[in-house]
Parts: sequence; C-alpha cells; structure tokens
Amino acid sequence: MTTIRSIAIQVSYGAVAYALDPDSYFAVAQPEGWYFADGNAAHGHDVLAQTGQVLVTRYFFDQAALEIGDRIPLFATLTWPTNGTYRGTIQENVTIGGVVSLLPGVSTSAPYIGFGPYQSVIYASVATMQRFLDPSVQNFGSVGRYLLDLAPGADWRTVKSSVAAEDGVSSVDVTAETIELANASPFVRALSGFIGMEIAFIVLILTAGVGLILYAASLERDVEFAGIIARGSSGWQTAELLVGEAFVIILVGLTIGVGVGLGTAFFATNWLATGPAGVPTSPVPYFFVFPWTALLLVLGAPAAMLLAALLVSVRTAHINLAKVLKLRGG
Amino acid sequence: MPNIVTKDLMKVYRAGRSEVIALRGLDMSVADGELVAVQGPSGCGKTTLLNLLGGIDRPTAGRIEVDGSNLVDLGDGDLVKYRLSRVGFIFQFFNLVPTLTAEENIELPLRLAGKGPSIRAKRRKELLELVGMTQRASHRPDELSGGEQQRVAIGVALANDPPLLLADEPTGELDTKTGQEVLDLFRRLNQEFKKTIVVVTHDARVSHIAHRILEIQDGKIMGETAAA
Repeated sequence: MTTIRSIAIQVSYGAVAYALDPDSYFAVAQPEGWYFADGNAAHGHDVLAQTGQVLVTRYFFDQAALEIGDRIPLFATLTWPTNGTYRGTIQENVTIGGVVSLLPGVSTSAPYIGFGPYQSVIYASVATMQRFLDPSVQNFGSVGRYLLDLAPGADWRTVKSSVAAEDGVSSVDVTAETIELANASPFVRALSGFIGMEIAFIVLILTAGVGLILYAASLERDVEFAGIIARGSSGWQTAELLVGEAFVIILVGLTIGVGVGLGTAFFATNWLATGPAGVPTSPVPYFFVFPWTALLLVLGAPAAMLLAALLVSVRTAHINLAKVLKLRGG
Repeated sequence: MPNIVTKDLMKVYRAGRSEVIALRGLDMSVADGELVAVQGPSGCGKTTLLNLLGGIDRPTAGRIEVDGSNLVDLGDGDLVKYRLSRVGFIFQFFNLVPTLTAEENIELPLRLAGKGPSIRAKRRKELLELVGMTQRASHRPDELSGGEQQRVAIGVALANDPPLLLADEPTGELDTKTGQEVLDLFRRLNQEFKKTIVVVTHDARVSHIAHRILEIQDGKIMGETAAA
C-alpha cells in the first residue's frame, strides 16, 4: 500500500501537486512506460527519487512553456494552527525532471476521456514536498488517497474496511465495487451481457451472415460459374475464384472498417476530448484503446468470410452444368 | 485429332417420379476434321448429345469414345482436363463472364490451363484477330452485339487450341447476316485450322458448310445426309 497526499500550492495555471513515495508508488501502481513522455518508467522513478526534482503533466508543461531542467517556484500559505490566521508564506524551488500524461491513480479527478489530458499536475516525492506537508500549512496534511496492490485472491472488502478504519479517511473508492454496483442494475447487466454475447458470437454471426449473402450472390451467378466450369475450371479453381473475390471484398471492408474505427477513436480521443485547443494529446495511447477483442474481430472477420466463401464455393463447384446452362433435353 | 464414336448412348432425366428419355441407344461417329451438323425437332435429344460429347453431363448408359478413350470412364478431374484442353464449347447464349472484357474472357481458359503471361498475351492477340474482335477487345459483353459476343465466345472456345469444337445453336440468337458470318467462321476453322466441329442447329444454312447432317428423332439417329 502506498499513501499519496495532495498539496494545494500556488503555481501558474492552477497546478495541483501530489506528494508520494517513489519506491512504494512505483511498486504498487506499476505505471507503464506510455505514461511518460520519454516512454521510460524507470527514468520517471529516478526523477522523483531525487529530492528537488518533479514530474509535470504535458498540459502544464506546454501551458507554462517549460523546458526540462527549468526551475519553478512553489508557494503555500502558512497559518496559525490555533485560529487559522495568516503567518507567512513558504516557497520551494523545484526542477522539472520529466513529463507525464498523468500517473495512474494520481489525478485531480477520475482520468476519464475528455479531461484527462488537460490537468495541470505536479508530482513530487514526499522529501521534495516535505515543507508543504507540515500541519501548519493551510488546509494540508490530509491523506489524499491510498493505492493498494492486492495480492491474488485477496478480498477487496476486507482491505477496504481496514483502510476505511484509518484515521482521517472519509471515503474509499474501489473500482470492483463500482462495477459490482453497476451490475446490480438489470439494464447494465443486460447491456453488458448482450455486448459480451455479441463479441463471443460475432465471428459465428459473420460466417453465417456472409455465407448467406455469398450464397445468394452465387445463386445469381450460377450461369456465369457454370460457363466457366464448362470451359475447364476445376472445383479448386472455381473455389479460388470465389474466395479471391471474397478476399478483395474483405480487404476493402477491412480497410473501410479499420479506417472508420481508427477515425472514430481519433475523433473520440482528440476532438470529443474538447478542452483547450492546441493540445492534441490523447489521454491514452492508441494501442491502449485498441482492445484485444477488436484485434480478434479484425482477424476473425476475414477468416469468417473466407470460410463462408469456401463453403459456398463447394456448392458452386458441384452445380449441374447442363441444367444451369439450360442445355438439357434439347 | 478426335475420332468420336458413340455406342448405345442413353440418357434418362429424372424429375421426381417421372422420367424423360432423351437418348435411346444413340450410335454415331465423327471422323477427324469433319464438320457435322446435328438437326432434329425440339426435345429430340440433340443438345443432350452435345452435352455428353463435351463432358458437361454423363450418360445413363453406353459409351462415348474420343480418340479411343471412353469419356464414361473418366473421373471428374480427367473430365475437367478434357473440357479444358480437348474440347471447346460454343453456347447459344454465349455464356461470357459479364464482368470481364472480351480479351479477358478469351484469356480465362488460358489462365485456367496455367499458361504464362507471354503465352496468354500472344494467344489472346491471335484469337482476337481470328474472330475479328481486335478493335473491341476492351469491351465487356454488355457493350457488344450478339454477333460480337458469339465471336468472343468462339475465341474463348479456341483459347487452348482444342481439336474439337461443339456448338449449340450458335446462330440461334443472331440475325441472318451475323449468323452467316459465324457460320463462315466455322467453315474457316474447319478448313484452315482443321478443327473437328459438331454443330447442333435448326439453321438450314448449315448445310452449306457441313460435310454431313445427322437427323435425330426421339433420341436416335434416324438419318444422315451428305451435304453439298
């Protein structure tokens, strides 16, 4: 378990700072490389491990026109613990050591698509932010959040209870619990069940659907195929012809389908993300929004179409030439 | 070169519980290099005979010997090879591939035979010239007249240089002038290129080009006329 504290500091562009222990945070959250501008999570850890060095979000980095190595001042107001009146200001100069999109589990709000990329956040070690963590600093000293690395098979309810029992903890959010609550709704259950079933059967549906379409199309073209077979096309050559045609259709369909899919993804992650203009940063890299089920479908759909074409070609290869060519009984 | 002999050829079509006997023990022969016309009333079995000679259908009984080998004994694979290289079929309704151009249609049997690009190109050019379709080579069937389509179909039938041509009512869909041009082309193919040709037709003009005319009635050869 690692503890992260949010610090309200005064800095340009309304940045929020998080203080965390680099070793425990990286051990628990295990952020992947794509969170970091240089793609190197280990370097991100090393930056935080150096006192005085911070990681900042891309949005903050761009808005403040910063460079790696720049030093920026952080300010906070000191108050008297007894009556909360002003007693001075503290300043800490920190060095920009690296750029991140966001760090998992550490952001001002849930990093959902739409606002994730536009957060001004500074990540620093507890050692770097030590002076701001003093209880006399205005409003601060409360625990921001806990990140837990559950052991395999561990019951999150037990862990939640123990975390909730910690002094000062007001609420504990568990993703599994959120999903469980959502699934309590019959509508959500039915929807997710339907989507799951669709994905599971989509290749089967494709095979049957495309097979029917190809079958109907081949019926229309019986005379054409019969003419070709009568002129010496073997069963395999006829099958090659049909499968070849289907393959071209598949390629065109795939190109359009993948294009529309990627275009939609780009639209969703860049345009729908709204926020300030000129920050074309997706909250997640494209490979991340390309789930394995989509990859399965991209591969499964052509396979289904080829299988359907092959099945249809078996029928076509065995058509009654004399009957189809209307030569019988003359 | 083909030497065709049929012996006791029978073909019975079954449609549900009823049977139609198309050929009733038909005996005939066609010598190498002959141009033979087959005539008879509708439903007498002449087209059925052509189907059997072309390996498009199988007989119910009897023998069909082409160069000494019995087509009845050939397996499906051998029958495909026979249709590909030994016989060229010309249909009444042309049966060209509608999405291919004239030259592509002619090239199709060459592709099926696995011929290389240079051989295909050379043969395609020869055949387009032979059937007089060089100027219309890049047109699709729906852009061609009936006579032009039939010329292309003859080019298709000749693609792999088969010694035997079988034509089923080749002038049936053509006007008088175009039909005559097609018949003239048959005569040229027979005389100049030594093709053996069997033509099923109602067209009386065929007597001007055929060596013999076979009359079929009720599934049997009922008569034979030596043409002029």
